[in-house]
Amino acid sequence: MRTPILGVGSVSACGCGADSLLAALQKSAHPRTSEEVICSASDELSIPVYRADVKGLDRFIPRRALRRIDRFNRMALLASFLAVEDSGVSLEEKHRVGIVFGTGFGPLETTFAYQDTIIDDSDKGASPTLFSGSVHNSPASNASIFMGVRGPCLTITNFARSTTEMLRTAQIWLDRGVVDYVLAGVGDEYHAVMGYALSAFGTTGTQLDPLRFDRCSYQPGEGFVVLLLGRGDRPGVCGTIDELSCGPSGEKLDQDLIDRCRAVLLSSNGDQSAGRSYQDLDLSGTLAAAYSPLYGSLPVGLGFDLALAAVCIREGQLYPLQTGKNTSALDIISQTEPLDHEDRIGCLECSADHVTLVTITVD
Amino acid sequence: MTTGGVVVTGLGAVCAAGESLPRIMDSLYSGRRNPSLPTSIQADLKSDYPVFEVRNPLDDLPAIPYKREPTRTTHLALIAAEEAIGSAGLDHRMLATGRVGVCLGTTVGCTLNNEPFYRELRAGGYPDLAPVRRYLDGNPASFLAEALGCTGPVAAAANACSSGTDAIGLAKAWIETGQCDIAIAGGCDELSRIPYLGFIHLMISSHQPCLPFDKNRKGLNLGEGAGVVVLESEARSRDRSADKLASVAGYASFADAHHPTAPHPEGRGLKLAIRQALQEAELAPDEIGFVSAHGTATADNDLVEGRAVREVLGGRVPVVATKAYTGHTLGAAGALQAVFTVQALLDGRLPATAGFSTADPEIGMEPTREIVEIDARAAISNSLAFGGNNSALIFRGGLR
Amino acid sequence: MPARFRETLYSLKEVASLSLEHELKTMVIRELKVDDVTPDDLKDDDPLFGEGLGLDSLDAVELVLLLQKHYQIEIKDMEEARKPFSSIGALAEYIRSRRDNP
Repeated sequence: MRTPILGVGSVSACGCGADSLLAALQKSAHPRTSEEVICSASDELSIPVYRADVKGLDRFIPRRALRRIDRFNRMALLASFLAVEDSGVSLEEKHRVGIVFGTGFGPLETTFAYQDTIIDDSDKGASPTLFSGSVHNSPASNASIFMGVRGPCLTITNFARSTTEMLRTAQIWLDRGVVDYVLAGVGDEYHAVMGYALSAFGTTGTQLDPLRFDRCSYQPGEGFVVLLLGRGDRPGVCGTIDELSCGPSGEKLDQDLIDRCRAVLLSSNGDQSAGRSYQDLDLSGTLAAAYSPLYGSLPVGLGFDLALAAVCIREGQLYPLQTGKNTSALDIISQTEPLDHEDRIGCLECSADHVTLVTITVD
Repeated sequence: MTTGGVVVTGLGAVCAAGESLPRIMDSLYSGRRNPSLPTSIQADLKSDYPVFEVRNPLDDLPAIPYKREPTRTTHLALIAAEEAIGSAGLDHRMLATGRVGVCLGTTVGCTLNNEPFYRELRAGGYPDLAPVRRYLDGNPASFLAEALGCTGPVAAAANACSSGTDAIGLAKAWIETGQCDIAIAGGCDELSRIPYLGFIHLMISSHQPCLPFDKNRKGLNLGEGAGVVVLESEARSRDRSADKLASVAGYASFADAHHPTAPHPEGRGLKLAIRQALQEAELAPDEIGFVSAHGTATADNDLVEGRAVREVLGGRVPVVATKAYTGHTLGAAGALQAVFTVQALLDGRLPATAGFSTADPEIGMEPTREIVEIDARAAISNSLAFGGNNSALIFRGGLR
Repeated sequence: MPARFRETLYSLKEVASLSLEHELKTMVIRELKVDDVTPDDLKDDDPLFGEGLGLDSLDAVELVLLLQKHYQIEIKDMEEARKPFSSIGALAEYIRSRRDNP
């Protein structure tokens, strides 16, 4: 299935919009992190959190209309509107547009704000507004409502596998002509409850070293990215997704696919258990890069890499990123690499249970 | 691209109406339902709201074997999946060797809503992380795929009340596009205080057992359960001489783009979904033998759904609202409806919609009042979700 | 009762009734996050739902919760709420009547 990427929208620690991703890649801007102190029973840890900031949503939606919309939903909305704006496409037949989003944790702030109302005001104080905003599909449904999108809207949620299955769904819809365009996005937000959990799972508060596999350097990130995808008969200004291959963890990768890639972006993000899987890959002879230090560690990191790959393709260059210590045998990109017509970028994600390779061709 | 269609070769279900599909159908055909005050969850409220609960614990019920402790939501899915796989004549070994996908809908199953954990954290404590680990390990689709050793696509659909229908629709598309040969698809959700209190405060829960499509309906009752279907490509099912229970002839989904909790007053998304599903199934509206309705018994849903069904399919098509027997099982709802729809086609019979007695003139149609013998070749199952998603599944089959 | 006491009682009542309306306006604006409107902008008989303030069905059930939380008034179904929710004035009148007739 060939799926052209027509536009990119994003809200992340790099800022808002495809330009913010490009600025981060070109090092003219740096991702925003804020120190969060996490307390556990045994100690106190200070970790940098890659914080997203929603700016400019009122260009698309009047402030008043956003009154019940929480931060996570605003990220999704802004990324969606920016993706469409970035593409220059005018979405005319709204029932021929679909939305498929992936998320690991859903609207965390609202999930706990709703529980707060129950704790603070007892069972009779449960807020219906917060309950209805806490469901995982609220970003997709809000995007549908505010953009008038009337095709299928689906939310996929299985942690690190969310991006893969979200993308597969989008490709199937477009390939079969169910819709003409898909807003294909992923996102997750940071919350103090997650910080507490991370402290027990081994986060160390050190720099995110995605290519260092001997310890955990998971630094939580948050944000939302959306790709506007079209049907296969169009050129992909930001590249065309041509392969999506996913298998169980440990299964040998299709070496043919890897060999056809100019370079591979690894979604390794400091998570040590997944890190072992990256280390076991045979990527000798392939140029690689790991971009998670631009956006942080989150279940849907592969989606952010797809967005970054799309931005690189439009620029015609792949950018190096200093990633601290490299304990792998990978050949890391150390200088800007030009991308030519028909070059391919691979986006590779490993987790405890799966390996996904997405390849994007430069049109 | 696979030739031929997608067929259903196995069915499994567990809910308050029964712990297996035969028992559920027995309850439905007897008109027997058992809403009760919740026992597995407690709420400190002035009034009571009945629910449709499955027994607790679930340990005695046959289920797909597991190594790690599943959440209740996942356990319900394992029970329904075990029945479905058995009824398909498959064994676990076959599922680990072919390309098999797993697609399950859920709402409770994907949310970190362990109240004791969060309460302790808020009170300044350092709660044990076991609930978080259970949550991270507890995604129903991933858990089931791992338990079965499946190597095909694995997705959990979190689409509120249409999750189960959408999961089956997505699995159908996987098979049609050659992503896998077999898919275990459906939905699951356990009773939870989080949605229980949520729906009560949205003022769409009823103090009484629900009355779908009734003039005096006062809202929904929550339920819990799981529904699972085994889907295969027609070619694959023929190769292994599987018993074809029905074919999945059409699926469509359209958003209202209207409101976070209320359906579009004219049911525009639902009408589109029904029409598109009919088109894919190459069926005329009058070829639909019956409708398995979403029928939550809320003022809004039944009005909108009833009118949309009447407009697109005519006012005489039999309609059954199985939530009368199961309650609203959220992520499981669309899947339980799908299982029921296939079974009713095979049985050539529809149950009465328990609780319904007085037609609502505003709706202009009514569900079944008594058991109906039918000779249907096709049926449609609807879901209308919070957030405005509307999905329709069409099954073709017939009397066995 | 001496006339001047009656006058004082009436003016106190006026003050009390003004402050309930104002209190309700402040609560509705703050809790339903309609923060581009001030209590002074919102007239007692402006429609709250549909036009006017433009609240919807989700706000309505949230308002039921707020009444229970801040005024200990329970509304059992939305039919009961239709008239009281039509405006701030109607809501204030409803609250007073519920207080007088518990």
